[in-house]
Amino acid sequence: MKAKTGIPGTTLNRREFMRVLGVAGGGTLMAPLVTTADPNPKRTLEQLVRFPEKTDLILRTDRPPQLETPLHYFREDLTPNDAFYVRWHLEGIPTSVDLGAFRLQISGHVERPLSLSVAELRGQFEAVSLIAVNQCSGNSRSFFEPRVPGGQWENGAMGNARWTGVRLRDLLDRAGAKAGAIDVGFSGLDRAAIAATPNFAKALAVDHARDGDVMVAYEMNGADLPMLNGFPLRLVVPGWYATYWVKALSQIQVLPEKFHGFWIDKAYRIPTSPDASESSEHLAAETTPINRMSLRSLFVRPEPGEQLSSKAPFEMQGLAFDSGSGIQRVEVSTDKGRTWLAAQLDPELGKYSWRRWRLRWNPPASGRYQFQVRAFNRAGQHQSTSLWNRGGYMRNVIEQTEVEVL
Amino acid sequence: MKRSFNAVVFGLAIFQVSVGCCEGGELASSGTNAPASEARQLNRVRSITLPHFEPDLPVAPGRDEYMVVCVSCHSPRYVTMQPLFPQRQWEETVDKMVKVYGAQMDQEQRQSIIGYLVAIHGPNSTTEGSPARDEDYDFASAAKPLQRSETTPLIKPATDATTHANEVNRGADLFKQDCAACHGTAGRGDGLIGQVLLRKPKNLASTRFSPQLLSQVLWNGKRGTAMPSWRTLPQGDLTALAAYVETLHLPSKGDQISPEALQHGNQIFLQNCAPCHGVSGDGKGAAAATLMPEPANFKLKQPDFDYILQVLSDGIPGTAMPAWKNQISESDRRALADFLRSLFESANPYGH
Repeated sequence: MKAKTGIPGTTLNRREFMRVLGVAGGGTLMAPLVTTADPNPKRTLEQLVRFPEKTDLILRTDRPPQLETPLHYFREDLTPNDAFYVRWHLEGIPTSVDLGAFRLQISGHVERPLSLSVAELRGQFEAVSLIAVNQCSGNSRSFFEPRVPGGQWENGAMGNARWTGVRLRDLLDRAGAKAGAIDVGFSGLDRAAIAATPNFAKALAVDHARDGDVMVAYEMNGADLPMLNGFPLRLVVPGWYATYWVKALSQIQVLPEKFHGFWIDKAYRIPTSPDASESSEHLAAETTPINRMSLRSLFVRPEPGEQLSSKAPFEMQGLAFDSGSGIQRVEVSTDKGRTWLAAQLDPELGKYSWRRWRLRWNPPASGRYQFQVRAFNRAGQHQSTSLWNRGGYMRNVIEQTEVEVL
Repeated sequence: MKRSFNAVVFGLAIFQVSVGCCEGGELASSGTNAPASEARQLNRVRSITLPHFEPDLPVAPGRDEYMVVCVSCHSPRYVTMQPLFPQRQWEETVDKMVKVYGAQMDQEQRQSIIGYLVAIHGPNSTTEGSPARDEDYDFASAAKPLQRSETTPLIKPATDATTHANEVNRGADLFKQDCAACHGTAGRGDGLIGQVLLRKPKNLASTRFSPQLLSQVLWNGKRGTAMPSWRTLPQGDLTALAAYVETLHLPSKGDQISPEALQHGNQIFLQNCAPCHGVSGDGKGAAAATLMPEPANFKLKQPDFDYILQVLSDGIPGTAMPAWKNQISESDRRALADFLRSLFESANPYGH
């Protein structure tokens, strides 16, 4: 049971609520009034904070910042820039960029190293635009059981935006990538606090980098990127987890060999099993860098703890996405998986966008209900009921939510 | 909905404009695009200022080592965000910090830090989110650091007269409903419940508060007292309450104090008060970390002259503030009161 507060998106779990009440009623004078077990003990107080250029987001960490988008922003096709989640790895994040001095460097195994200003990128290359989901590898990590260390996200470490910029392929062609190129490495303006910490760098295979979809974006939803989302340039890798979407992108290096770096060799790795799952007792021996997003579907409404009325029909809402094959159908069960109803899909906004779904439901009677949602894509993939890995990555199990009908 | 629609339309517009530029071309100078380019030139440097969060750490052995080694790279929330992990997991995490991220610590520091993490965020710690154990939940020690938010939104009453008057009226109603039981109907700290509290509720007529202090206390509550957080109220109600509370204090006449008298007051302050209240009077003296409630920050509040004299004479029961009447002469207490009042920084409502 969650008590809704007056602040949008803020919920107190019952213990927090009691704590506030207890203190308000005279602190130590009052004994706890209720002693039943907390039905959802792992949820903690959601504290909202407002960072520069951002609206109130859920504070996960402050330095470096990890800020989560409250669920209600996903009732829209595109996630507003100021509500888009934030996740940085290193202490030294860029807080000031001089566009007069900023240059994107393209170097390495190329004929003509380039050094481009943002104005040159805008002016000298064809602009392209696409809508794509950007989702943190660890989105929904806090729902893993057993729990795993890392950013304790619920479902808000993702967003859907229209990205506008230039094709990475066009940049590589201008620089003249030489024959024998294997990987393309990327890094941004963020810096570690101490020299011993590896700076953030990622890489893509050269064929992937040249697929025409991978983009260097200078706009998000028609505006400059917010500083905390990677101003002035961000790598957009549609269909892949956001760890590859390097923020404040400033270096692109074409490599004649396989890229090696901590953030690919050691971090962001998943078991090689097809569903990236392993057991906590028997960790997988083989791991591989995380890559394409797995198929998933989510509830946006009802929100956790939302109460419905038995007197009115309710429109369930949610979203579904994968890595670009396209959502074929979404099904919802209101009877613990015995029967499944087909949800109505909103129009497609592009193969990398999420697709919103709706289902009108007439509550048959008051009481508690458990809803489940599952999606199927055009590649014939479906969702499963369990997934666990040590990194807390790629959660895509069939989601469940409970509602109370009054 | 509207916002999303606009974003889509604007996105399309940009797309259509800039799609016209192609490789080798000049920066587009069509009529629609030119103003945007100029604006971009004018705003060549883009900057943000990140909010500052004080590290807010429970006191337990190993805290110093943790502060020195860990907090330089990440804030304590990286720990408090996690589930309550057992010692084995914290050992693994600390070792990862050393091996992978290059954290610098010796064996002794490693042990201290692991001990600290287990104490504040292990299975038996009393901090956030421990599994359902309400029956032994200790409300007395529940004034949790985590309850506190370091980025308090500034609650600032309106400046135009009509809106302000409405806020004050609304605030008066809210005050009766939510605050009067402790603070009394006139805000004198003499409400019915207040009479059994220690420390006693604040007499809100005795002190001028800065907007940021009012914001902080309304938002976070006041640790070490019965004052709870009111952040669950709608923002408009908080603003109304702040507007009303401001009216409870009547401005006192500002006497001119000679620089010599202030200098004298400063001397007494440094000798007697700075260990707790800080050299600058901001409440962050060397001893402040262990005190609850925290020592007063005189930059954010300006108690009336008479109220300061009363406190200096009698102390504040339920806090660490002692009675000074036998240590400091009356004339010195008066000089001190003038000096304390001079510290108030009303000109900077954002408190940076």
